[in-house]
Amino acid sequence: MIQFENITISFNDKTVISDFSTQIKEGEKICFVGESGSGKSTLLHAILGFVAPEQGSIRIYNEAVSAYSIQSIREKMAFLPQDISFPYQTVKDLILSPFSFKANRKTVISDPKILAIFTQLNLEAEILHKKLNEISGGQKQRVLLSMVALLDKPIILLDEPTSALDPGSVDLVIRFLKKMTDKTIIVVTHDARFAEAFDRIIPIG
Amino acid sequence: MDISYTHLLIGYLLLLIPVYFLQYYKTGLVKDTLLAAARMSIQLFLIGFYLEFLFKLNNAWVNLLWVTVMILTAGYTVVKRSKQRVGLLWMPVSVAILISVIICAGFFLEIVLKLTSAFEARYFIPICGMVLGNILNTNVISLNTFYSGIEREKTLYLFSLANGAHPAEAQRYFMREALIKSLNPAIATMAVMGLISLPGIMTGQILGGSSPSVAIKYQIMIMIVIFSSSLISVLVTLWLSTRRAFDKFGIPLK
Repeated sequence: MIQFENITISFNDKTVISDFSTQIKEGEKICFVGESGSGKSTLLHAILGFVAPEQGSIRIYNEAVSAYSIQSIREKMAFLPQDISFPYQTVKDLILSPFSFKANRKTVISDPKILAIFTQLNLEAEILHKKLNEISGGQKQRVLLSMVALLDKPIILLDEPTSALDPGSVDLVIRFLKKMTDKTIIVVTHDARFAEAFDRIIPIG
Repeated sequence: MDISYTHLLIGYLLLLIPVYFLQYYKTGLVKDTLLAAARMSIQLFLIGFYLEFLFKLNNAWVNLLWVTVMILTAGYTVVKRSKQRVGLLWMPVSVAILISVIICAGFFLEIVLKLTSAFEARYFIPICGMVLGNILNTNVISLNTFYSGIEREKTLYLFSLANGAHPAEAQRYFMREALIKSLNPAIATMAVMGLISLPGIMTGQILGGSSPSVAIKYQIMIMIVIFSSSLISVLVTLWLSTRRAFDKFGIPLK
């Protein structure tokens, strides 16, 4: 359902991705692994239409990523970038933020639903009403993963989602992601535990 | 009451105080200050002669043409000062300014003042000039805030796009910041008007012979026109500029 066909991407005359092809099936859990600067995040950005390949095409559910299709493609995705700061006051504001977009308004969100996900990610209920600057980096990453789960999209793209987590929490997150059997998940990571637990590793670069 | 040229020259001596201290603190601004004062004087003298001519002529088409030139110049200045691409944004910004001038200055001239002709030089040009002068600053601040915000917080912007936001939805936070930053000064000015300062329009009218009770009515209306036109021009500027400054994927053009 995600097809990369002969993708080449360059920045400032430097080729980052060269003639890359692969297919990812529905429900697969995939790791993109490679050295820093090998283009792993760039491939996620290419799926989302943030960078345009100079050659090749990307197809999602058999639809080519294009200016015409990009909005409907993005509405099937949930994405967590590597490093991000938010202008929101509380954890709850952060979690609810993408549900104000028209594409996500049909998804019903409630405190019990959020807290059910929190429990799976070992987050205390009190965190929901805390200010963002009162929680740790690891808690913030798990809050963001909760948000991704609540969005309930068929495709989930995660860029280094566990960089601030201790080993125990990383295992918890991996189990949490693997339970989503109906979701196609691509994780960019340096963590070998994902590589061991997921369906496939795709080396980049 | 007129000011003679001799007394005008005496008035320039007041500049010696800021020039002295700018030099004392080695700010490097003395030359710029003197050049700015010289430019201001020459430009105002020229515009004074030109406006005398326009007021005597009082031709609606000529007045419209002059205001159009002012709008295009204002549009250019806004884009240049906010460090955006002139080729991309000059027209959208000028159109936004034109729309706000038509709505707000038009409302004031036609409905509030109930002039026989809204294009009468004596009213049309100064009112449009005042509106444009204030629109300039709010638009520069709003464009700067909006585009520098998206550049600085690009990850947040892309995060919103990636999680289902239409580009206009992803831009909303940055639009809000631009509106707040650009309009806060005008709101603060309105709040203290009459308490801390007597504004220029009112002062000018009183010096010109109007009674204070007439002058304050004009002042109130001008402030409302300026504030409304600032908001309308900022909204339309941002809305029109995003149609040119982002590609079809919602990514800002470089």
